[in-house]
Amino acid sequence: MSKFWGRDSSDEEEEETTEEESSGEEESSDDDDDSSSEDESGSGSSDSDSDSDDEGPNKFLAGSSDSDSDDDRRVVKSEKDKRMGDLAQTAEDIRNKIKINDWSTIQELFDILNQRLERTRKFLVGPTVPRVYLKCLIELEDYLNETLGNKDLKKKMSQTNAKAFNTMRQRLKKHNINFADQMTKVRENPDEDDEEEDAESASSESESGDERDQEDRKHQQQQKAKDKLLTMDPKEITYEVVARKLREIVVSRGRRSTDKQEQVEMLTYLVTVARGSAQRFEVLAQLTSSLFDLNPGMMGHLQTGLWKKCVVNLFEMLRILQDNPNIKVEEGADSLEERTEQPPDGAEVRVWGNVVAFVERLDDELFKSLQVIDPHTHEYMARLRDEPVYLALGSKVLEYLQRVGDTTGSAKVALRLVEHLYYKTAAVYDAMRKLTLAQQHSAATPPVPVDEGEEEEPGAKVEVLVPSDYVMAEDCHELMHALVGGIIFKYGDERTKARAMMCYIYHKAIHDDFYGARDLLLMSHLQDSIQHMDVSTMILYNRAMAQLGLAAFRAGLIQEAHACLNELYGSGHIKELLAQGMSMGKYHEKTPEQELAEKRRQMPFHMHITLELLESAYLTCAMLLEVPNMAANPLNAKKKMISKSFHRIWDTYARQAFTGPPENVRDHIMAASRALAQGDWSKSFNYLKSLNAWNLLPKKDQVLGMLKVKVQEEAVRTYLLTYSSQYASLSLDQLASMFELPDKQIYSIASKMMIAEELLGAWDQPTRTIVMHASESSRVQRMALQLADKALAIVELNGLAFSYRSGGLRDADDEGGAGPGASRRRGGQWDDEGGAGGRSRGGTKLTLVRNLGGRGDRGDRSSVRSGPRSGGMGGRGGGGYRRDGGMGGGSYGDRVGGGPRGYGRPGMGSNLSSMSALGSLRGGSGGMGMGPRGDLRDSQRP
Amino acid sequence: MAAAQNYELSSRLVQYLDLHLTLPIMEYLQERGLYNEDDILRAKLALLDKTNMVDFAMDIYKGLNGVDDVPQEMKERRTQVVARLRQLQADVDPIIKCLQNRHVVEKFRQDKSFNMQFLQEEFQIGAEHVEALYQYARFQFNCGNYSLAAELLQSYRTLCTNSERNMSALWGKLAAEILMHEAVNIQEAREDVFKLKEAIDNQTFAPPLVQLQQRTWLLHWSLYVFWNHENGRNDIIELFQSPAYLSAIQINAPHLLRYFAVAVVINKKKPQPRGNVLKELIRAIQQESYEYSDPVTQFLECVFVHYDFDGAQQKLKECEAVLDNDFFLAAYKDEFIENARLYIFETYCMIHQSISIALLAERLCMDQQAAEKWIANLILNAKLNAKIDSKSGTVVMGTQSKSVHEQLIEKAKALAVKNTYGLANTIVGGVKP
Repeated sequence: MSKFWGRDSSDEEEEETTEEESSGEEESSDDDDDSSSEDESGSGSSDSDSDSDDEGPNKFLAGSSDSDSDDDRRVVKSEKDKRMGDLAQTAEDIRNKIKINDWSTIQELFDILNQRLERTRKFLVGPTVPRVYLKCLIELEDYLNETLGNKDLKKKMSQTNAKAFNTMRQRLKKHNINFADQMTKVRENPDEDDEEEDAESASSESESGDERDQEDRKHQQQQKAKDKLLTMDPKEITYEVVARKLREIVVSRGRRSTDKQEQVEMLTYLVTVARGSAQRFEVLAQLTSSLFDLNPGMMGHLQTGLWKKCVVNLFEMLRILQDNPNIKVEEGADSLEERTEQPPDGAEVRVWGNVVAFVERLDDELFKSLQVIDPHTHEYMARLRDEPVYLALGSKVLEYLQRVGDTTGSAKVALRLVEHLYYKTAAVYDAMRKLTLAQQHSAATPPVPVDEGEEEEPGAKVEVLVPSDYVMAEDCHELMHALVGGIIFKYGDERTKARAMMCYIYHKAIHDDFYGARDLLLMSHLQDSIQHMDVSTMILYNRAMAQLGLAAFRAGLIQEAHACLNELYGSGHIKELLAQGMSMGKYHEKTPEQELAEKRRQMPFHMHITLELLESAYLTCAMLLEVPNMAANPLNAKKKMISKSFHRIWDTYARQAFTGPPENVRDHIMAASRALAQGDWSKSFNYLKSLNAWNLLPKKDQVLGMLKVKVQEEAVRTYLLTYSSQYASLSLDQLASMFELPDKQIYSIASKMMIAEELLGAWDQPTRTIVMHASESSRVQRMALQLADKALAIVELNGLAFSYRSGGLRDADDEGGAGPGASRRRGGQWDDEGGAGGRSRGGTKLTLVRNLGGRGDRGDRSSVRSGPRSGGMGGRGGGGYRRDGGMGGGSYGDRVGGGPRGYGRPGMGSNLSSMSALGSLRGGSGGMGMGPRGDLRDSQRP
Repeated sequence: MAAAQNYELSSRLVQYLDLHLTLPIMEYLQERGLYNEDDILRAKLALLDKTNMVDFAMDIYKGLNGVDDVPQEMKERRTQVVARLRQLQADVDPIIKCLQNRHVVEKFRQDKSFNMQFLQEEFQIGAEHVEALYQYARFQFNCGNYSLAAELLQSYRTLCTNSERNMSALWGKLAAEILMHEAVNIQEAREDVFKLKEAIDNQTFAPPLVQLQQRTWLLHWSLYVFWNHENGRNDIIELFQSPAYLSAIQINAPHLLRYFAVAVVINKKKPQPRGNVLKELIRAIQQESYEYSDPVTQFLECVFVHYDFDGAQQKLKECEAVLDNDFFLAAYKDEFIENARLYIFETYCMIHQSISIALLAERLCMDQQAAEKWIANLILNAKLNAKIDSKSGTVVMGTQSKSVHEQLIEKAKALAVKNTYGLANTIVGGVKP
């Protein structure tokens, strides 16, 4: 049993060492970075800082870890003395404290002692530790036993002191096991001097630092074998020795008792002594997977230093693969295969390894770390700088995979690359390219640092970025296209393809190619299948949808933009839907697991879509569509509601007793809407213009220009709709001057309205005026008309219901249900602007994933699901009827309200079985029973 | 000229046509002189190179290069072709003889495998012969011997059991019929188009992409048939507006919208639910406007979307040039212009209550007298509720709006009808099953 850095209470020590290790790693990388860029080194060290902050026990380390090794390497001799002195001093302190029986101080000092020992160890060789230390340990042990025996003394101790004493006893017991041998030695001849030790350490000075480190931490049982290996002259180490050692490590991997850290060190050493490139590759592969093992768990991310180490390893592996085409990587290859002879050069060798998996894992780790790091720090920036490296690695791997013809793997890797590229606008991509070039440049010019840890990142990058076919891809588009079209669509599996498709849509959308993006979306029929995909793909879909909406908005396609954003925004869960933070759920509590799962799928900050811009765009669209719509249906604005959420905000706004000057996005839009409703376009536009979010648009002026025209047009429409009844005739010139639009446009708008019968009038061409035909009908008249409409609807429903009951029209069921819906859709398009492109092609509708799974229990989910659906024909119609029906008498209205709703469902919700549809219909035709039920359902709806 | 070339579609059409089918288009272009004649000839030559019409190719070569001699490889190719022809003829001889025998053909039945078995037993004609028949027909088609090819393919279809082969035989037959340029064949071709349509739609297992491709082909090929058939314009509307084909147009070949549009416009007078088709068409045009737009589609947009009559007039003029240069539509130019005018006028009347005749005349590209006459005719034919006020020189439209009272009564009537007849119908319908 390896007990040295055992699992239990000495955990902290292990972490210390890890920490020391990784921060040491950091530093060496920093050294390199210094040469390339000033920033990186600063961030590198802050990296280690925060890492250590996360883990409680090693507080002082965090502070000091930076300062130590930089100096160490340069002025070794004096430093060593100093360290030894420190150690001795601490030991002395402990001795003093023992005398006064102050255990809590002893405990602290003991920690310090161990730390100092760690540092001192750098100058020592072998498992030996300074005598001072051992002596101190012995004294401590003795005194402990003594105190333990002495009951009186124990009783006298204060509570804290007693506690400290007990901890100390436990710790020491475990701690000392490791030094048992040496301690006995010291006990035997306590007088022996330190000289021997000095000599020893001095002699080993010449050997490499790595070795020493490892030796220290070695497990006793393995000590011998390792000793042999490590002390062996590197030239004598044969293929067989390394192979055996490697097997040993592989076998022990994953066992409880194995120390991962130690394995990593051993493997690192093995890399340097491996014989032949095949073996070297094998060792590297094992090393990389062991490095991944160091990760504490699913939640935590691989530390940056380790991550970089892995990248470097992978680069090395790729280089080997490139240089030696005879090496075949297979995951199935038996890594434990007994091979004693080094294979002859050029022979085909099968080795264990899975480059694709490594690349994917690295990506996951990068993603995870970006999730966790605070986006407002330099650390985040520094981490982002690793992205080009990853891209370089990815494309290199891709190249390799294509060379060996691994199509599945290359699709996977290509997807990873695509997922790093898709959200980058041209500007961002260019910046990244410049950064890469600069790094390449600076890394290529300065003298390479002589350190042994030189194989750090920039060095690796030079290697990668030199081939000019990589990031040099000037245009992000082409790269995307090549990856998506050339690789993924040919070889990928369903999920890969779908994800790539969505990335591509997103990418097209942010590059202002709305039509291209829309066509991709509609032709791929992703909306139909997205419900069955995993959550992260759904999020990607939502993100693509949001960008599609923004693209439409920028292009001035208001209806399309509204259609894309409506459900996203209307859900009220926009943050969750885009995985950009969590909103506080008012209505349901999340279980910790759900919260955790949600946290895990958050997008890193740099990939976020600005919510404010989204809100501004959506509400502006809603306003442009909804205000004229409300003006067209002054009596029941809710009847043909276009945007539910707009109405909600509008109502709240109208209910306010006092309205102050607008502050947030909503206020601005509402103020603008109010102005627009009165036909005051300039005021309305000014409110819109003052929104901050527009500054985020790359072509702000263009968009504002577009918005201005739209506002003017809608203002004309609203004005005509609202006030036309007050005019007998309207002059074209007057309208043109009022709204500052060219005659032609006003003419076109008014003509459209006449054709659509929104405006009851006609042009009198010789005088250039609109002559109104119809006198304003009185309220009673309008009500009468509505009543007639409603009666017609009831008759139709009765007919349908009857046919359901008699079962005669079972076949016509679908037709009857879909018919009104379909014609309504078409009609709707024609009413507004003669379609303006419509939002659908081939009848498919842009829908959104509402249900991110795992949110709420089953009941909750079903209610969410029914939300959007009833927002369609059924719910909308129902609400409207009930409201005006109220005039004719409550019960009647209720009944009518229940009817259409029950009816609307089978039409809209294809999921509902025809049986249940039948049931509710029966209720509807039955009369009273339906009303309250329908209402109940209504109120349940969120 | 440049604009005319811009809207010239042959380069787009050709992608979806058979080599042979492009020849008539080429010839038409040559006639129009829109492109450099040498270029066209060269293109033709390149085209013929891939077919077996060696003699034709030789002629063109001579014409193009102004020489009397042709290069050696062409001659060689000719001998090759002839040799292959001989060989195929020999292969196919038994089956042709057999098929020429009327008595044999009379014994054929619907069941193809039965036919095969029958032939096998009686004449030792097996699958390889049938296959040879197909090859031979194809070869003949490639040689430009269309009528023979069509016949052969017809007989092949009665014997072939492979559905895929059957389909390509049908395609071949259609192409041959189209190229024969005779009224009888056009009738037959029309039937073949519908057969193909059915075949394509019934391919349940074909990947969607293949289906889409085939639909696009069919749409293009059908242009030859329908624009030369008397009832073609109805057929074309019917085919183009069916959802699957409309989406094929939108995805693959938005330029076909022009033909759709012209068909819809010139079919104005036919009593049919035109409004719907027109709406579909305009929706499609608008959706695709970012990908395809030409004066014809723009004209429709102007009239029905923007109500920009000046623009419409402008576009109409451009349309003339475009239609002139179009292989399929040249014959329909006048009809199109006439109907387009009607469209403009109708829409114009819909939103005006009084219009000056002078302006109208200008809009319609007529002089005032003619315009007055034209309008008078329209009014006479009871299409319009309007009067000419010759004193002020205006047309006054009758008001269309109904009073609320009228509306109400109308609705109530509809209600009554529905309630009695509609309900009665459902009851009867419900009892029946």
